[in-house]
Amino acid sequence: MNHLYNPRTLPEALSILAETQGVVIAGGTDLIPQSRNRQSLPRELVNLTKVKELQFIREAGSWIEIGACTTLSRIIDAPLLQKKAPSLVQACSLIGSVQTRNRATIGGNAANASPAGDTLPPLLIHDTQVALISAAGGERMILLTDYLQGPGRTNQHQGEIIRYLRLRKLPRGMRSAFQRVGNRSGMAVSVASTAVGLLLRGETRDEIQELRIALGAVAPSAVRLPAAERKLQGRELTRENLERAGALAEHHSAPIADVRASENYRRRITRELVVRTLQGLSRASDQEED
Amino acid sequence: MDIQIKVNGINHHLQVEPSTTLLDLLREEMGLTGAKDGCGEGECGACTVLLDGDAVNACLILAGQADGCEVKTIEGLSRRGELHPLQQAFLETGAVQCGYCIPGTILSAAALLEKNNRPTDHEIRKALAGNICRCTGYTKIIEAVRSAAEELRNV
Repeated sequence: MNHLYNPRTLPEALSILAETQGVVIAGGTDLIPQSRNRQSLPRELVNLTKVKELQFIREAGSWIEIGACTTLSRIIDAPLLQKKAPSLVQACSLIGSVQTRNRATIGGNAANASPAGDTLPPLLIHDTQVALISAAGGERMILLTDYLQGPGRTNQHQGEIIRYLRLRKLPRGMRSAFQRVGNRSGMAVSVASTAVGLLLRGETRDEIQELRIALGAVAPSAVRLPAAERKLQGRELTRENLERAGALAEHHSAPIADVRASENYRRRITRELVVRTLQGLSRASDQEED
Repeated sequence: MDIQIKVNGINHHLQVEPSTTLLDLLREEMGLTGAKDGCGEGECGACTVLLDGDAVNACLILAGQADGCEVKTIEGLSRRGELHPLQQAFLETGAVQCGYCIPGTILSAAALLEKNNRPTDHEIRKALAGNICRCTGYTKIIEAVRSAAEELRNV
């Protein structure tokens, strides 16, 4: 490794990135372990942790914008996100340890594009967009579903960084949650995960007005399941239909076998996870509506 | 590259290689060997230090990223030779066996108690989830943190 740069502002960071054709580092919680004891660190590294304008959480009408270098700890502690994006807060609180979460950033979790990245299913049920910026090309906005292109691959070009993530607030009254399974309850990469949004209709709330399902760790990227969502829209809230949702999720998953779990286990646990998460949401006491 | 870093209350101006980690800096350059190199990949927590008050894995931070920051290591926890209540509690409770995980564990606990002086056992476990201990089975460690919390509340 030749240089580590510590820009203070975004324009400075982008300009250094363009000049050096370097790589960015923020929390380093993926980059450094991946560099095999720092043997293969990039030659030119641009540290983004001192660029304050990349760290923010703000409300903008029906959107919530989170700066790319906002740490997971800060996301967990944010009252706005606890209320308006509880599935994201739940997911962040399950990632790694306190030490990890104090450094890891939401932009890093997206850019690393692990199939098992836990922030990704919650971001997907919020129809998240990724705001990318570069010195040469200006800004562009792209759906997270288009940004993620496979294990460790994204649509990001050289010289671009994520500036912020833009989440759409859920429909009024929609409850959401995140659940995952790992080989241990802490410090474990997810073997299967799900973020679910459930909006029930009417006084009796026994009909599914809208359902959102996203899965993690069971496909090349985290995925949203629009076909499954459409099939259950307007259906009665019964045990049978929740089981149907689980079966559809299992059907639409495409897991691989690896050191952590078999393909079959991942499929079956996906079904179970979706059913349980939906059951939990349908039983939950009324959340405050804004 | 040049960096300016405050360690245990003392300001330092240093020249570091870009690929040096904060852990290397503390152990090799400054002789502060309390933080340990257990895994080098942020999984074990033996390298835990406090960076601007937050518990972090020093092995995952490049020294250059800590420019302008304040670091506290286990060596900085005691005051004028007096052990911190956490250190005292760990000794008295029998929470220390081989001692390797202890500096990191105590600092994680210190960070917890700074934010929450009345943690439940669940909260203690969550705060220490990133500190692996191969010896004790954690029971005495939890007890020590509980005891230190009480001591700090009564001070």
